[in-house]
Parts: sequence; C-alpha cells; structure tokens
Amino acid sequence: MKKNNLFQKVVKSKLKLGKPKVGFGLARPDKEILNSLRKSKKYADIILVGSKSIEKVVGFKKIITKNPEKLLPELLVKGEFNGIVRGTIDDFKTFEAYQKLVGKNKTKKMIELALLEDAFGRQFFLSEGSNPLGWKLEEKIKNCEGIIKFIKKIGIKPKIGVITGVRHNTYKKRKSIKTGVIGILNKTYEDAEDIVKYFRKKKVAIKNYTIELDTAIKDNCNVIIPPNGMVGNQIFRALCLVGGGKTLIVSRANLPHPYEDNSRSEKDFESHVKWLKAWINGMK
Amino acid sequence: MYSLKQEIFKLAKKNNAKIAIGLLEASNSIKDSLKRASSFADITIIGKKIKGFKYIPANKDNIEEKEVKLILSKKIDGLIRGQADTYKFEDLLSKKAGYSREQVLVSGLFEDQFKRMFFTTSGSHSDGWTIKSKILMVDELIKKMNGLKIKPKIAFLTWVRPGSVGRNFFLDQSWEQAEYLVKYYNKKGYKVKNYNIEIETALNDGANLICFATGASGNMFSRTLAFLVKNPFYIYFHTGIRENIIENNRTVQDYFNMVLGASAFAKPSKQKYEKK
Repeated sequence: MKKNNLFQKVVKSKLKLGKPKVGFGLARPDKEILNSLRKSKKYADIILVGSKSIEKVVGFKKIITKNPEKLLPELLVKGEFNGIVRGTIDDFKTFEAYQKLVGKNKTKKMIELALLEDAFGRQFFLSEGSNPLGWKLEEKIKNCEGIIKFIKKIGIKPKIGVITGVRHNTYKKRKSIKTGVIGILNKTYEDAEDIVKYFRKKKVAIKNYTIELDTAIKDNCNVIIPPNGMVGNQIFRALCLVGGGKTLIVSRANLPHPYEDNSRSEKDFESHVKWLKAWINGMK
Repeated sequence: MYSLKQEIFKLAKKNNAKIAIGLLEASNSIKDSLKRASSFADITIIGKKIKGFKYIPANKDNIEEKEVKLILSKKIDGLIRGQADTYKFEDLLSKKAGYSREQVLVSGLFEDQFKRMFFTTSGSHSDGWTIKSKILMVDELIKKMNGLKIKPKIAFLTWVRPGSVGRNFFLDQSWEQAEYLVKYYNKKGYKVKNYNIEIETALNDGANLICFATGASGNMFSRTLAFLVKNPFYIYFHTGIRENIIENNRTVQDYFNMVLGASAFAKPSKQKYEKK
C-alpha cells in the first residue's frame, strides 16, 4: 500500500525557521495531554491558558483566567501568541470570541480542514468534520475552493475525491425521488456531480467516488469531500478514535491568524503543535 | 477471558455449514481468502468457476436470481451476497420471500483496534432514519445477541452534542429519537444510553450494540473501519429476515470473515455453548 506523507512534505522545510510562541487552551489538567505538550516543547514555547484548575500544572508558563475562551483569541490577535491551539476549552465560545475581535467579514472565507492518516500511512485532508457544516452545495464549493487555495499555497497539488450517500446505479434508478431519506441521499449525489463539473472547468483533478471512500483513498486522493459534516465527523471518529488512525492537524484556515483546532476527545497534540509551528513559519 | 471472536471461530468450525457465495470475478486475493476459509464451511460459488470449489454457473444478468433461489430452497445454510447487485438482490429476495423492503436490514459485527467487539445497526445508507426502523434493527440485534448468549449494552448515537441541541431542527431529530429510544429500552430493562456523537465513549463504557443516527453515518463508519485500518475483523449480515445472509462491500478482496460469519450464524438456535 502506497504511503502518502503530506504532513512531512509540508512541515520539513519550515521547522528550522524559529520557535514560535503558541497559546494552548487547557480546561483542566490531563496527564496524557500534558505529556504530549511536554514532547511538543521542542517545537514551540507553549503557554497554557486556562482557569484556576490548571494552577498546579508544572513545567509550563501559564495564564490563569476566569474566561480562557475569551483570553486565548485575545492574546492571539494582540500578537502575544504567534498562533493558538484551541485544546480542551469550548470550541464555539473560543471561535465566537475570535470572530468578535477580528470582525465577521474577516472570517467569512474560513474553512475547517483536518489532515488524517490511516493505518497504512496514507494521509488525506478531510474537508468537513463538524456535524452541522457542509450540508449545502454552496458551502461545499466554498470549502473545496478554500482547501484548494490553502493546500496549493503549502505546496500540495490537490487530487479530490467527492463522496456521496448513494452509488451511481442506485441514483440512476431512483433519481426521480426528491423527498424523504432517498431524496436526501440523491441530493448528495447531485451536489457531488455539480462540484465535480465546477472544479473540472478549473482544471482540478476531481472525481465523484460515490460511497467508495476506500477507492478514493486507494486512488491517492489527498482531499476528501464528504456528503456533509455528519458523515465527515463519522469518518474522523471511526478512523482516529476507534480504528487506530491519526489526526495530524485540524485547522481553521484562511483566517488572519494561525488558529489550530482539534477534537475534544484528542489526547496527543504533538502533531498539532509541530504543524502550527510550520504554519507560522511559512507565513514569515 | 471470554472472547466473542473466539466463539465465532469455534461455532463456524463446529457448524461447517453449507454456504454459497456470488462471485463474477475472483482476484488471487479473493481465491486465497476462500481457500483459507474452506476449513470453516462447505463453500459453493455462484457465478465464476474457481478451482477446488463447487460451482453453480451464473452471469451478471442472473446472479441475483440464482442466489435468491438457492437460499430460499434451503439447500444451503447461509449465503454471502458477494458481487451480486445489492438492490437487485434485496428487491428480489423481498418479492420471493414475502418481506417488506424495510424488513431487509443490514447490521454489522466489528472488532476495533483495541480488540473490542460490538454489533452495529445501519450498514446501508437508507436504513435507520426513523424510530420505527431503529427499533426494528435494535430488536433484531438483541435477538442475535441473545442467540450468542451476549447481554446487550445499547448505545444510541446522534448528530449533535447536548450543548448544540436547539440550533438545527434537522440535526435535532437524531437527538430526539435517541432520547425516546433510551426511555423505550430502559423500560424493557436494558442497559442503554444516549452517547450523542461519541462512539469512542460508548465503546470505552463497554457498549456492545451501537445504533447509529442514520444509515448514512453507519455505512461510512463501517467502510472506514473495514478499509482504512489494518487487519480488520468485521462481518455484515442481514437481520429482519429468516434466512442467514451475509452482506459485504462489493469492492472487498478478502471473504474470510464473511465465510466465517455465514457458517457461525447458521442455525444459531441449535448451538449450545457456554461463556468461559
């Protein structure tokens, strides 16, 4: 099975360029997380931002506050941090605070993308990992455009696999159905076909793999567009939290600042910090 | 320690059931997997002739018909759909056996990378979107687990975390269904919980019957575990029907687990074995 080491390709040249200051949101002390952050110190100066509960954590600079969700993005925007990892503090509140600080207009082009690695060392970007996102065609096209722009900038040529909730033949047989469950599944197919048409015109390598995620990965697709965030979330959970795969990065890209996100269930943050360092250095 | 996987192997060996599998093409990997599995079942191929196995000729136009005819004739103890078309096969089976289309369901048995085994609902995208469909699937899995003398611990999954309920009507439906079903199975005396989006927490808690929010998430979960992890152990099977039919992804190149399942699940009511 062919490995596809996108992560190494991207970070290698940028790691030597200096040690940035990184803010990390920590809701409460966690042995596993702190161990991974200790290992990550070789990449960045890590400053923990959290409530009183993290006061006794040793070996890190700490900023204690009643409202870490507000302070972490505030210090990022002020330039006290070169980048942040959201960590275990609340996702929505942190991003809302960031939006308020930079203005909603500057976050309109934001995309969420995760770089995952399966058990065979094959790495791919997943465009939607959050349940409420990516249900509309316009949203999927916007995300896809954002990912293409982002990964081209970091030196990767996109090869995109679009996933649906229905196979080609089944869609042909049932395409007249527009309502109910079959209607929802048919819509994922129609969206995928529209996405493929749209990006083929722009000369991007892209294909509708229908339900066959496995074939898309086998074909060396480096970007996977799931039918919606719910399915994207399921791919992430099955692979990384049950199937022994890895989450290498989860970024909120195309924002004014390097903003690394993650799943609340994650315990190992080394690749997030390593990536954030490369990201920050790449912007210099 | 009790191991369900070991029990499946033991049962398959003991049953050595007569099973058939539909194959129109067979790669070396498929042939090799059938050879490895042949000590657990008496295998007949429907479709392509493969050296060393019994054979019923069939082509792409009639493979579904031959499969349905054979399993309903009761000349075999189990069937693996193999490379026959899913919908054509299920439509034909429903018609010939008198099942409603909703009755023909796909479930799964998985072992994850941490050696935890669990049953799952909704292997097919269109299954499991309603309370009725979920009850049907969970009840069928409970029956299956009872047959294997396993006490179910049920986890319902949703599309939303508790903190996000109320933001999106469409996603909230999965939450409402899970809450309803937790009460429903609680009253029946089962251990049951709504784990929202966290399958990993459900498995950490020892849940062994996972009910997905819908078939779309179930299918992608199964596909990911089957194809993106090393040495996966999984068996998809039909529930809701009388016949012992094992399901699979059409792209699968290794049928060992499917043969094992078809043989192990044959006549489960006649099996007598105890937990160690």
